Amino acid sequence: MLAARKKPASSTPQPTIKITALKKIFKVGEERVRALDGVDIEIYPNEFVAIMGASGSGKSTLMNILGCLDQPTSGQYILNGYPTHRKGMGKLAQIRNQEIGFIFQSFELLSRSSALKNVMLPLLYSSTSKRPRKKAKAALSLVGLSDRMSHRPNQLSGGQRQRVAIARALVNDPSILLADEPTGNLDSKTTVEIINLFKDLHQTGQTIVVVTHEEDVAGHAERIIRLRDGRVISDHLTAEDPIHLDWVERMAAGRGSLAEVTQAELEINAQADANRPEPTKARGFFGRKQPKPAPPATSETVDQLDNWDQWEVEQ
Amino acid sequence: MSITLLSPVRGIRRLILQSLFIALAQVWANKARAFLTSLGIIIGVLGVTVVAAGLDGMQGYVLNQFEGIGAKKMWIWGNVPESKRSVMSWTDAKMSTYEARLILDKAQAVDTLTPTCNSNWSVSFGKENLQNVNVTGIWTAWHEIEDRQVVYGRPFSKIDDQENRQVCLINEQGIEELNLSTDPTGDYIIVNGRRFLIIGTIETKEMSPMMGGGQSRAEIYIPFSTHKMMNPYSWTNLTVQLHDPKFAEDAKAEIRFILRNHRNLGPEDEDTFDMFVIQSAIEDFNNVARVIGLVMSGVVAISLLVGGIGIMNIMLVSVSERTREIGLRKAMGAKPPVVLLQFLVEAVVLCVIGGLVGLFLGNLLVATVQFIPNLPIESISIPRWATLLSLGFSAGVGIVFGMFPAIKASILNPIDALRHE
Repeated sequence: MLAARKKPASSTPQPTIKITALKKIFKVGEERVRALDGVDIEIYPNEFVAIMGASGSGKSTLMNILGCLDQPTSGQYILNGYPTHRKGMGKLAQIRNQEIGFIFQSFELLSRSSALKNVMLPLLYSSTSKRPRKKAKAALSLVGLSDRMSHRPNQLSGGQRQRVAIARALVNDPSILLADEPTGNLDSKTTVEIINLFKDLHQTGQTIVVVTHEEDVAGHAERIIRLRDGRVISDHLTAEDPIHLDWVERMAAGRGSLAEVTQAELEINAQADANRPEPTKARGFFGRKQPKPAPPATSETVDQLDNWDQWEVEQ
Repeated sequence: MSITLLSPVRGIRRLILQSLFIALAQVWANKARAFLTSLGIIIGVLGVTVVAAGLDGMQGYVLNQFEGIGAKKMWIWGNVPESKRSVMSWTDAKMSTYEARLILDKAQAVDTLTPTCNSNWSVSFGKENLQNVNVTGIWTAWHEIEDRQVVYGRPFSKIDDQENRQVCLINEQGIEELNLSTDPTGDYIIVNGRRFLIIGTIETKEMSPMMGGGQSRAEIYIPFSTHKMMNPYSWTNLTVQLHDPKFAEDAKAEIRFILRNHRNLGPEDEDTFDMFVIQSAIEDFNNVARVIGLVMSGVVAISLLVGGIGIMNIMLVSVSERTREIGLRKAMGAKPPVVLLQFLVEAVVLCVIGGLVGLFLGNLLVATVQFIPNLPIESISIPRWATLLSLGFSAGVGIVFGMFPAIKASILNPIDALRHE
């Protein structure tokens, strides 16, 4: 069904997403926060990429820019060969409508409208949509909800809601599917369902980018990009990603929890911090002296954290 | 990036229809709130319609009263202008029968007219003798112009005037004062030494004080030519009936032209005659009604303004309540103008629904008022212009007061809107 709709990749495929030297700087009071500090990523058609990072790593900012919801301070973002940086709100809205399918953590469905109406929402704002009802029905049956079309979101389970949201993201046949923590509000069983749906979509040729902080979700992607402090610190295929491999090993051995920081991650983080160039203007918080850099994390501190966890459980 | 453009008109129509459906769904979802919000508009429109209907009814009533006197009536009389008082005699300014005929023939706006001349003569019947009875000479057209019934006998005929017959009509007061029988037709009375046959009696008309009425008195009417025969020097006025009150200004212009031409007045000469049209009085009244209407419009406009502020308030609430929805719609590709249109249409829908409810209530009220017995205003209805005006005005209020919230919604940043709690 979806297989035929994507053009087969040519010998030298054009990247779907090509961002170079992307920077996003927020001004919070007098402080300038570098949410993204020179990011270069290329994502090719029919890739399934997970973007990972701790909170504050800039992954949400990157997601917003990838989704054309926000504009970079500097750098380039070329989507399907079309430069999107420095475009007006109207043009960006058109790109969001035609080229990007967005999936949110909290689904963001219109509570008063039926599933079908929700899926038809992007078609409302597209000037090309012919037979919107038929398209929306096709998208809903693609996510396996053909029998829930007239249900309202509050009559659906969380997994079904996210499926509606996925159908909505797919309805305009986007060149890229962007999911921001798509399983963040779901239990583990429905998480698996949604991940499998993503995998199916990927099989049919859909390019997918997922932002997540869960290693097991990221493990289903082909490629994992890790961000830290607005920079890409690691970009590997999942099968070669040292942090992921470390995590898989630990899980297999039955040690640790899902959220635990692995040794490989600690090393990579420490290396990334060491490589970070000092900001040109050495100004600290409110222009005071630069605070002391935090000591690099060691396994010792992690152990302390573990102990603290246990202490809490014992209580 | 394949973007085929539909024709812009079709696109805009589709957009407006979409926004309309969203707005109607929104209003339906918040029925109570929508009602309370549009209450200001409802009251405003109710005000417009009721005030318009009331003014219309009052105007109709008063104009009807004027119609009773004769809205079509006008008077013409000779007049010596101030500057000519020393060189011109009043006799030269007097209206002549010839001029009366001339106006009747030439002036298009004039339906009919009669010259009238008044003399106070002594009248006697048997032993009764009255001094200074008002004797008026008239043409037969007088019967058409004055709405006065001949109670007994017959009205004047043309031949009475042509042959200078000594016949007269007398009113009830005259009958009483002369001690005549109730039906004095066929009796003879002596007017200024001449013997007159009474051919009928004529009702005395109640005249409003405004029109110079008051104590009724004995009146005798005789043919104009007979009167002129008895006193060729008596002062003469013309009483004119127009085809329609709306020709008042035309009639004035025509008559002025005819008389100036006939009297050989040069461009620098002032008129040697003057005229008065009932229509002028009606226009005075209309001016008063217009002022009342303006004051009422002001009050109504203020209430619509207050209603509009209510609309703006609720639209602002709606925008901040639905910030996430706006963010989602924007993320799904709604351009700023589309979001603007959606909220603008919603405000206009609220206002127009309020306007329709107000119109309905206004019609209901007016229909109820018509059931009240003994109301001087016979027919009262909401004029069409008031209906259109109030609907247009409420839509306008929607656009004006919906604009600010709509702009606020349209310039929202999609990320911030989506993060809004």
